[in-house]
Amino acid sequence: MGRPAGLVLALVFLATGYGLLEPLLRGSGLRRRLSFGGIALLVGAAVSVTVLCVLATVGVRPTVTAFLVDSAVLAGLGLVLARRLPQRWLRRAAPAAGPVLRPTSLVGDVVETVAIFGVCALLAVALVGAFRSSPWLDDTWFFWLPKGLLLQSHGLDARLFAPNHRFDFFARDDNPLWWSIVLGLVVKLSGNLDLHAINVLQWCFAAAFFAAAGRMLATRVRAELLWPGLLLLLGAPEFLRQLQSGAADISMAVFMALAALAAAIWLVEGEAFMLVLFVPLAAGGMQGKGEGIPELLLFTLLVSLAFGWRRLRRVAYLWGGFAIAFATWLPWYAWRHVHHVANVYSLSDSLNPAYLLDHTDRLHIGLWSIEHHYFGVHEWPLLAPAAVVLSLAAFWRWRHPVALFPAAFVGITFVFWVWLIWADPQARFRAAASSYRYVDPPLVATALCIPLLLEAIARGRRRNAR
Amino acid sequence: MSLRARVSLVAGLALLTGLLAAAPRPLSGPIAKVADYRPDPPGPIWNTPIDDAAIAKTARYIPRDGVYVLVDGSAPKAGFSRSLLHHDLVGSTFLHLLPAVPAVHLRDASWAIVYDQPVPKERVVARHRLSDHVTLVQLGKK
Repeated sequence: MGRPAGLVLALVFLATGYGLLEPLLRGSGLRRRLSFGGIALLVGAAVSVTVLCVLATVGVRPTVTAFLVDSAVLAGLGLVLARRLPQRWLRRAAPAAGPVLRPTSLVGDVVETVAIFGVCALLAVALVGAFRSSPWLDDTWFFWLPKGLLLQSHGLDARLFAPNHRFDFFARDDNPLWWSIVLGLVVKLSGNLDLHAINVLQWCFAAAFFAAAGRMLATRVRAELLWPGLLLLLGAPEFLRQLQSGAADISMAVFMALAALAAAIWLVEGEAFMLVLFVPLAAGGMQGKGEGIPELLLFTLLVSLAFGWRRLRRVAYLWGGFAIAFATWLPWYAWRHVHHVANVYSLSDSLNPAYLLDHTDRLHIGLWSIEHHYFGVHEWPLLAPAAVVLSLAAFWRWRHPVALFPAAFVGITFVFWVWLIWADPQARFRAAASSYRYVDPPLVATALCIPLLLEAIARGRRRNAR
Repeated sequence: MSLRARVSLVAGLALLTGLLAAAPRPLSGPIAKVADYRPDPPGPIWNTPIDDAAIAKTARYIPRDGVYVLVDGSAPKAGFSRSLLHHDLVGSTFLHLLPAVPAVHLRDASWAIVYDQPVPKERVVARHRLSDHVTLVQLGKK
């Protein structure tokens, strides 16, 4: 099949996602269903591969056949639930049918058209690049993909998945299996170790992300502010570069940013669909890499603190959703525990003031590298500074402390990563080799705040209060 | 904005994008970078040149449940990349030979993939010279 395998796998994810969302989309017209395509693809990918991750820990090999059966069962389950569950339940959890906020002026029309063209053109150019490029990050073929191939052919072989002195075991043995299973499937479908298929699939995740973000924000942010805001992220050179890396970080960032957005919308508006959406997106984020869980914990905590005041019931439901997503990771943790696979990051060291004070030499390494990635002009130009400036401007216009959340989010996630590098015995290596990818989830999540801030500024105090 | 005006705007933008894509560098630089004007081969982008084709040939001999060792001049050590060459060779053997697994020491292996090194003298049952760089050695029991 070659490179189109990436598109084929994405189509299976899409079909699975539509099946799973059927109980909530039942009765919707074709146009409305199509607008949920990005969400469906990401939900399908998150759920179907998370199920394979759980099954892998009990000895089921995540082969293409197993994946197809798993996807068919999940989609079928969604279709059955759509018919069997009480309609009043489904109506309560269905996505709100608010109107899309279209421009009301000629300038708005022009800005919307130019921005949507920019998004489509950049995605088209990136798709061409995906078909022509092999993943540039050596981690892809050194451990992510080999893990997936071994899982397919033999399952969780402790000789290579757990540390020992006899075999050349896999690097980053603490990472969850999600990305490895995805890469194993797409390369197996390609039929001939065509690694370009990985970049094509990565592109599908990115396109789904923009479609999903557009869908989630279209009824909340007017189009002439929404699409330029999203274009700022898609135009970031580092985002486009990492789309061709084959690394798990960008796809993990996509899931985590949308999970944080869904959590915030659930807390503010109480739209149950967003809570439903939060669970698979959070699970997808947690299954991406070892740092997925602490990072998503931080995101959920910050969103709860900012938007959960006097909404304790919604906060409780959100953390219930977090617990469900977390539970999907426990079988892998149990397998790791049995096979003595330690986490790369040590929680006890990170929380030990004496240890941290003994290693203050690492502090400047973390500060320098994270500052460089957050605020440097060649990687994610303007994203973090724009979020901070717009946050202050929105606060000035709106006079509500919630407007300061994006600025606080930038600051706290910055400190979080500096702290993790500070506590890391391999700080020098990781700051040089990997920190540019560590910042993906917080920066992609920050980018989703920008359209919301622009809308808050445009509305001003009186209309925001409504 | 009327549909006609919108179509005209999009057509103009498309034309501008097309011209930028076709323009010489540095104008086309950003697009050329993202669209990868100089395409990569389908396989991995190695850190250092290795004879991947010869490594692929070893899959004809080493069985799926085989245990092999890489003899590439680096000191045996588990869990760490000993050298850039070893790192890339491990990646290549993973892609071509899994579920056969790489051992750290010669004593634990039934096969040795010898890369630009003298062939070990002990326990040799058979040897297959697969290229100028790679010799595959079948090892007997201790």
